[in-house]
Amino acid sequence: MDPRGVGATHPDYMRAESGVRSWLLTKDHKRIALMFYGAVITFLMLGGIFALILRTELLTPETTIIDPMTYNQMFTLHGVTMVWLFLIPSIPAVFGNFVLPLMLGAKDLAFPRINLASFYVYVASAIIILTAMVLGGADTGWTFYVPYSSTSPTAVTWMGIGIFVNGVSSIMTALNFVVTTHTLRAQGLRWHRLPLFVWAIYGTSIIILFATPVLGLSLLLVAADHGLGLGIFDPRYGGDPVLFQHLFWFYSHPAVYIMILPSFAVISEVVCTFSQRPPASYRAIAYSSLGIAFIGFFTWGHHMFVAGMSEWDAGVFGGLSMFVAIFSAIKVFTWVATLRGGSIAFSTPMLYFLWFLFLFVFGGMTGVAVATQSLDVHWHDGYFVVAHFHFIMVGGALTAFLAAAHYWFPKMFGKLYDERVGLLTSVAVFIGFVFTFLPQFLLGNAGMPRRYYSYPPHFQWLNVLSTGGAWLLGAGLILALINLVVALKWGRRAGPNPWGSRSFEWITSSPPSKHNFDVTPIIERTPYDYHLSEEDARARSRAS
Amino acid sequence: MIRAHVTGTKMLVSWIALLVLTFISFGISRVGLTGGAELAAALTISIVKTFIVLFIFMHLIEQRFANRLIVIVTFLFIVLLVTLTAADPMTRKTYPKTPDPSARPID
Ligand code: HEM
Ligand SMILES: [Cu+2]
Repeated sequence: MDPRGVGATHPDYMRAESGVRSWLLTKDHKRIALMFYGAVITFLMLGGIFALILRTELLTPETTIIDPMTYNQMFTLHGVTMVWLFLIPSIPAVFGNFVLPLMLGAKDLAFPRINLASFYVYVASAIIILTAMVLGGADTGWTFYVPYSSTSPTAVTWMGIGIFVNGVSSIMTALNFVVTTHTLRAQGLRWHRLPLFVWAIYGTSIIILFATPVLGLSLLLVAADHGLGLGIFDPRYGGDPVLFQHLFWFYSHPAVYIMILPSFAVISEVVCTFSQRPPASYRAIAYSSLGIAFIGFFTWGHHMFVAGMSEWDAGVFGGLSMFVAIFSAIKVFTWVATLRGGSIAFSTPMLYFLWFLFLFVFGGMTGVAVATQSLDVHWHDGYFVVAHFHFIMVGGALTAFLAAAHYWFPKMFGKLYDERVGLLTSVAVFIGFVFTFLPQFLLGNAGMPRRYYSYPPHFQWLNVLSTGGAWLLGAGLILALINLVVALKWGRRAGPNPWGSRSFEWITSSPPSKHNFDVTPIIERTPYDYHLSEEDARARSRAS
Repeated sequence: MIRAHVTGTKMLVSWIALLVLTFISFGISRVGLTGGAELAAALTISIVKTFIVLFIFMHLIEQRFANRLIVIVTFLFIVLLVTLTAADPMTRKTYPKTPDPSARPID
C-alpha cells in the first residue's frame, strides 16, 4: 500500500478545489471544521483581550485604566464571548467536526448541509452579540440574573437573542453528531469499538440536545420581561425571580459538562497514543461520560444555595452534586492507570495532558467543596468561585483544546510543528495559569467579592500576582499560535501517522483527501490495539 | 417503518383540539382554583398539548421506537426540571411566619 496512507492518490481536501467560493459553500466536514477553527480562535483572542483589560484594571485598588461602568460591561462581554463563542463550540465544532467522521470511517457527517448551516448560524449569532456590544453591551454578567437584567438599561435583549441563535447552531451540530454516530459507522465498527473520543462527543451532544432549549427559553423570557414588561420573573405580577435561576442553571450546569466532556474526549485519545497502550478500562471511560451527562442534570441547584431557595431543595442538590465527582474520579484514575507500563513520549500534547490532570483534579475538588452548602455560604459570589470555575474551564477545557490543536495538527495540515517551542509554550501556559488563578482562591477565601471594580489595599499583592500571571498566560497562548502558524508554512512534512497511533483517523493520509478514504474501511479491531504492529493494525482496518 | 400516517384531517382535528385546550387553560386561570389545583390543571393541559404537537405535527407517530425514545427521555428531563423547581417554592419557609410590621424598612 501507499506509504503516505490510504487515500493519498487523491489531492488533499485543501487542494481538492480552490477559490473562496469553494470554501464558503463547502459541504466537506474538514473545511467546515477549519472555518470554525478560525472563528473560534478569533473569539478566544477577543475574549482574551477583554480578560487582560479586566485584570489590568484590577492591578490597583482604584481606577487604573477603565471606569466602573465599562468594567461591568467588559466582564459581561468577556463571559459571553468565552462561554458561547469559544468554550462551547471549540472542541466539538473544530475537532469533532474534523476527526469524528474519520474515526467512524465515514465520508462525511450525516447532514453536510446542516453542518455548513450551523457554521453560518454561529456566525450570525456572533454578529448579533457583537452588535449588542456596539449598542452598549450588557452589564449583567454572563448569568443574566433577574431582576437586574429585566431592568438594566443596556442591550440585554440583543445579547439574549444572540445567545439564543448561538444555541440553535450548537443544537444543529449536536444533532449531526448523534445521527452520524448512529448511522455512518464503518462496517465492523461496533459500539464497543468506537474511539473514546466518539463516546464523549456523543455524550456532549446528548446534553446539548436536552439542555440548550431551556436556555433559549429562559433568555427569551428575560427579553420579554425586559422589552415588554411581561413580569414572568417579577413578584409584582406573581412572578418569581428564583425561577429564572432554576431555568438558567438547568442549562448552565449541564453546560459546564458541554465544555468539559469534549476535553475528556481529547485527553483519552492523547493518553493512549502517547503511552502506546490501550486504556486501562475502555468501558469505564466510555460509560462514565454517559454517567456524567446524566447526573449533570440533577445538580443545578448548587448555584442557588444563597438565592432564597428552600433548605429542602438545597439539601437535595448538595447531595446530588457530589455524585458527579464519582464519575470524574473514575476517569482520572483510569487515565493514570493507562500510563502504567506504557512507553510514554513527553511530547507537547502529553505535557498538556499532565497540566489538564492537575488542574482538573484541583478544580474538581474545589467543586465538591463549594457544593457543600455551609462552605458555599462563605465563598458564594467571591473570588473562590471565580478560581474554581476558571481552574476547570480554562485549566481543563483550554489545555485540552491546546492538546488537540497540537495532537491533530499533522492530521489536519500534514505538517509537523516545532516540538521544542511547543513544549516551551506549554510550560508558559501552565505557569501563567497557576499564577493567575491560584491567588484568586486566597482572595476569595479572604473575602474579596467577584465582579467588583475595587478592593481594599491589602488585597493588592495577590491581585498583582494574578494580573502578572494573566499576561504570561496570554503571551504563552500567542506563542503557541505563532508556532502552529509557522509550522503551517515551514513545518516538516508529517507522514500519515507521525505519533504511531492505532486510532482510525490515522489510517488515511495526512491531510486526508476530500472523501477521507479511497476504499471504505472495514474495521476488525479496536482503536487501541497497541499489541499489533502498525502494519497488522492497518491490515485489520481497511478493505482487503 | 411507517406505523400511522398523519393525514390532513388528523392535523385539522388536532389543531382544533389545541385551540380548545388553550381556551380551557385560559378559563381555568379565570376561575381561580385554590391550592395546587390551578397549577396541576395547567400542567396537565400543557402536557396533553405537547404530545399532540410532538406526535401529530412533528410526525413522531410515524417513527420507530428508537427515535421516539429520545423524546421520551427529553420529557423525563422536563418532568425532573419542573418537579425539583416546584419543590423549591413548596418547601420554602419564612421566619417569622408572620413578618413583624415594625421590622419593615421605611420607604
Ligand atoms: C466539570 C467541570 C466543571 C465546570 C466547567 C464548572 C464550572 C463552574 C462555573 C462556570 C461556575 C460559576 C458559575 C457562575 O458564574 O456563577 C461554577 C460554580 C460552581 N460549581 Fe462548578 N464546575 C465544574 C465542576 C463542578 C463540580 C464537580 C461541582 C460539585 C461537585 C461543582 C460545583 C460548583 C458549585 C457549588 C458552584 C457554585 C458556587 C457559588 O456560586 O457559590 N462544579 N462551576
Ligand atoms: Cu454547577
